[in-house]
Amino acid sequence: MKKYFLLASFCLPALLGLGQARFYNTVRIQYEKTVAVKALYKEIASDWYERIKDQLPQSSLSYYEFVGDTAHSLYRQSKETPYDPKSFYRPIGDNNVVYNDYRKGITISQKPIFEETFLLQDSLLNIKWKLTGDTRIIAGFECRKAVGILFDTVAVFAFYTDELTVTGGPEGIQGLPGMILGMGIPRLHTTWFATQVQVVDVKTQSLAPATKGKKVDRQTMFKSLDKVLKDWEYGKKLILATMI
Amino acid sequence: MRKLTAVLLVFLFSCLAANAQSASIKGTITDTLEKKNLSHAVIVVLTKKDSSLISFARSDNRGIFSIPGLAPGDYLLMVTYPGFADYADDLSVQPGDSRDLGVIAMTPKSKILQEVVIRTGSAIRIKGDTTEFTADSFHVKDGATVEDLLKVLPGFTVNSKGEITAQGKRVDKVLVDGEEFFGDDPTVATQNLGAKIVDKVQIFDTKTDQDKLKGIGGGSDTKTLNIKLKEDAKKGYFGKLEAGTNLNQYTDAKALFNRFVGKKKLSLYGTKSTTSTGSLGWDDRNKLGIENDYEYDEIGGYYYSFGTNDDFSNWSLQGLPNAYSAGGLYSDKWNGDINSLNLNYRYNRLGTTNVGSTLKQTLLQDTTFYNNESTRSSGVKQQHVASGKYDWKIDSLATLTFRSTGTYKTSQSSTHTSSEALDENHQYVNTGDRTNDLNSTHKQLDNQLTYNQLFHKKGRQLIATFKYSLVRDDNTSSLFSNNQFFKKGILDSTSITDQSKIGQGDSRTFGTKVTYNEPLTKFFNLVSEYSYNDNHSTSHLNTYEKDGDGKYTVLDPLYSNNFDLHAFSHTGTVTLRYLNKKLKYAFGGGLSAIQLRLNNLDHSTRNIYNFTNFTPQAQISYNLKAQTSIGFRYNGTTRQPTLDQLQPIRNNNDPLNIQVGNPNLKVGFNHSFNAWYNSFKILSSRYIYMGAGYNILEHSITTYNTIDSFGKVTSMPVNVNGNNNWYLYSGWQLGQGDKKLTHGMDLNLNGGRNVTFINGQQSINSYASFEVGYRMGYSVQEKYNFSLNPQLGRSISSSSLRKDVNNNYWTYGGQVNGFLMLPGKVELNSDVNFDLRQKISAFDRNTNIIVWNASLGKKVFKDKSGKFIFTANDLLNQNKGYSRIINSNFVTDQRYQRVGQYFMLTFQWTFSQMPGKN
Repeated sequence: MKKYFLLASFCLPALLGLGQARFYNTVRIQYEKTVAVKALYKEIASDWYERIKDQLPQSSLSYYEFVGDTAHSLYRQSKETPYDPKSFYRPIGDNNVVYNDYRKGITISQKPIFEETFLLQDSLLNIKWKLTGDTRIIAGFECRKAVGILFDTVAVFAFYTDELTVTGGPEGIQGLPGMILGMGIPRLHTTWFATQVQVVDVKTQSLAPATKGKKVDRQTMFKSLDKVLKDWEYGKKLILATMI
Repeated sequence: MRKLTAVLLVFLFSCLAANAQSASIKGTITDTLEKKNLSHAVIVVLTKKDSSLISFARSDNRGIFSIPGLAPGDYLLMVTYPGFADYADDLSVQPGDSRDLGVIAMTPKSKILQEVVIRTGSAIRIKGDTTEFTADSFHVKDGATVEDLLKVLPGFTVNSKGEITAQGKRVDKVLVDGEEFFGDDPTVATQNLGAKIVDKVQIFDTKTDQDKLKGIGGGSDTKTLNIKLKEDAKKGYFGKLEAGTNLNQYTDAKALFNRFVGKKKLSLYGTKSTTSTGSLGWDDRNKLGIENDYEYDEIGGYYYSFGTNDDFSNWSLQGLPNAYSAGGLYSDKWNGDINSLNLNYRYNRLGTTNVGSTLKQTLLQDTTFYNNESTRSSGVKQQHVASGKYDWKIDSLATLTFRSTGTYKTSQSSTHTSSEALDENHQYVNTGDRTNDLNSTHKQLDNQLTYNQLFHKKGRQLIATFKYSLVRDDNTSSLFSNNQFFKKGILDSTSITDQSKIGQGDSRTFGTKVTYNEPLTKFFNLVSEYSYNDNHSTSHLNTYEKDGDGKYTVLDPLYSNNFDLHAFSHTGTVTLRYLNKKLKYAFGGGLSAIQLRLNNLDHSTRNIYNFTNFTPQAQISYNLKAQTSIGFRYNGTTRQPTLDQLQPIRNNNDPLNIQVGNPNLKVGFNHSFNAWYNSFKILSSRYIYMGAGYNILEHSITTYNTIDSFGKVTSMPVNVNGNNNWYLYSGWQLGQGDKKLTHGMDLNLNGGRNVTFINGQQSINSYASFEVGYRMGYSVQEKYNFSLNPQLGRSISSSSLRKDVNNNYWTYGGQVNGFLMLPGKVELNSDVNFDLRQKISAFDRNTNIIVWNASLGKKVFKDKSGKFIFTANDLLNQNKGYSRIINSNFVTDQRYQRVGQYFMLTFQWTFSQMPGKN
């Protein structure tokens, strides 16, 4: 956590203070995504887990970058996850390239899964958010905790800050009054935390969605994944990791 | 996921209903302290019921905001601004309202330091931010719940609604053994679990799920309670009983039981069968945890298990069985899984009776022999196997494993064989009758100690293994044979053998292996291995003939062998491995020095054989894209002659087929080339696989057969060049899952060239076979399914000695399987297997077998735990054991008995009691 504070203090021109709140309309955020691999596998297949647990890492880290303003944003992997030949864990849904247009309320997202690369074009994800009174500081910003329900069944815990006026977040998660800097989806045993927030000298004019892939809407993509993967515990996680 | 589908669809098609009567609100946000308007403040409208976010806005430069499009109703208005306390107020809007909320004043946040009182005591421990109470230290009445226990714990209060306050903070989460207990209502756990089963109560600050995953806590004003149950409170059992009979000669019964108490697990099973060997299926074995004995190759990065070549598996069953088996498994882990123990015992008893026949055709250059043989046999095999495995994780880097297995096997059998050999004119060459009786015991003890050490440098690893085994064999057998030999169809001579044999063998093996992996770079690893193996064995086999008193005391030195053998080897291997996401390759080689010192105790001679074996290997594989890979492998293997090939134990159990040794055998060498391609498209469920391989054998060991005019075959191993074989397999499959047509094709080819010798003449035998199959299936769960799998194949072989003989034939057949749920939830299953072969000139027996099995099943009881099954096995009564082997100049057609047609009624009952279930 100390590391995050340090990084944040380099990037933030001013630290928090009474009445000195500043607001930023453009951001470049580095996220660290953590998958609790052991917990994930234990849930997917507890018998199998008992056998392979020594060959699984406790957690797996990957890195993402979010660049955007109040009009649009792009979220994508910033560096490739190091390959560990000995690990039984292979990342899932880790190469989504999410472009959100907040004015039009649409998303254009590239989602590679197995042999297919989908180019999802649909409205922004509809998430039922509940706000709580909990706050915590992430990357130097005070964030409020919100609990979201996605697809009516999937819980999303998000920490957003009022100080960044972009209403985005990791992957396709958005719709809160401020920028999401910390997020957890227990069903995927995954968290995303901002490690670095840059608010000056961020160019957002040239942000553009990915263009390659099979054009689908959310329903079509879901159907084509669901018909093959639904009877498979790992497959269900894959569907969710791809749909968010 | 179905629910997710439905919900998702609703979401996708729902759009916000434009409401003509929608209301709007506006207002201004100010700072009470500095009396200035606040811009960028977040104004959110939440539902009053559950704080769901309805809409939000930001205040502008002048602190003014407006939120349009609100449906009429009761809301909560919340205003937030960094560094200020949240403002919240009720908001009620009427249809068509346009409300001005006026000025909303925000107050800066003031910090309140909270003190935490730490209590100590023998029953209370504080670890980091966790306070732990030992439940048994606090007295509660019998039948008390966890809630009653909490009421007596220091610092806890529980109100009438069951809400808990601990250390001045609200408890918002109750976990049982670190996991949520039936959702997040804390009272479910506290009011339903008995206090007696609680080991410890832990209280700590509530962390978000993210914190928990990351192990980092954030500030929080609520507490989480974790109730740790006593190990023995995690109890449960499950089992299965099954019994079936045809009210006549066939009965099958099976009982399985598994009980677990915490990490202790006990499984017991017993079976009896007259239709199979009674060995448990994979499913049952897995349930009982018997199949869990996998090993992981740390260096290679793959799993393996030693397949025990079992005399009691259904695969090797010939004849009619009468089988019993029983076993048990106990496992436990303790000390936080640092120590674990597995104990395993099983007993098998398999009695079989068999009537079989073998037809054999021997093709010589100038003539053809026919051998017809019929056997009647009966026997009983029994075995007791006890094994144990103990694992000790010494620390985070070192592990010690000890495993030990003891086996005791006995076998009694009696076989009567009648044989006749005919020449090409179908005139007798020889006829014979023989009876072999055998009584044997086998005792074996294997011990293995493995030490595994990891290092702080990632990837560096040392594994040392020590093995020690003891084997003792005792057997007695008797042979009575009467053979007549003919010349031109006229009896020429008779030979009678009446002998008793006593055998005894002892073997002691010590072995050690050390493997070391050194990561050279991120992607390169160097694996070095050294092993030493040392075996001392003695073998005594003495054959006695009858003396004048009819007792077997006269030694027959020709068929008596007594020797001791000392064999030892040193082996070193070095492999360089490269592993990356797309490309993987490895190459290296091994060298072993082997010495066999053979003392012949009968002749007091000593032979020393030295062999040097070399094993080069290389492998490369490349991932073309996701789920598509291509690879190539080369292996070079030395083929060392076996002791039997160098100096066989002279054996006259079948006086018409005699094996002799060849001490001049050279070491053979096998070059093996393999290539493969796999492509799996998961979303479109398409799978393509193919592979091909080619083996060239240098100095390969083949047989030199000498057949005398009486049809007696003497075989001797010799070295030969020019042997090779090849194979190709490929398949394509499309579709999978419920309500989808799945179909596929596969094609397999193989062939080769074998050189053998018959009566001094070289015989070059070429063979090839191909098989093509098509599969299709369709299933609707709980309703019906069917699958169809026709197959066509052809087998081709030729011998240079007999170009005139045609042993080529077609095979065709396949399977048809189906399931149908009949009215009244009666399940009908049917499967038919067609195995049809073209007759070849050598044999005129019917070679077509069609086996049709069917069953009707009905589940009974409210929880469907019982099931009646009526089985019809082999409806067409054609189930015969059959195998055909075409081997250079011999064509063999073998038949044996199998359980044929029967009708059986079986009842199955499964039961279970799991924790948390009543």
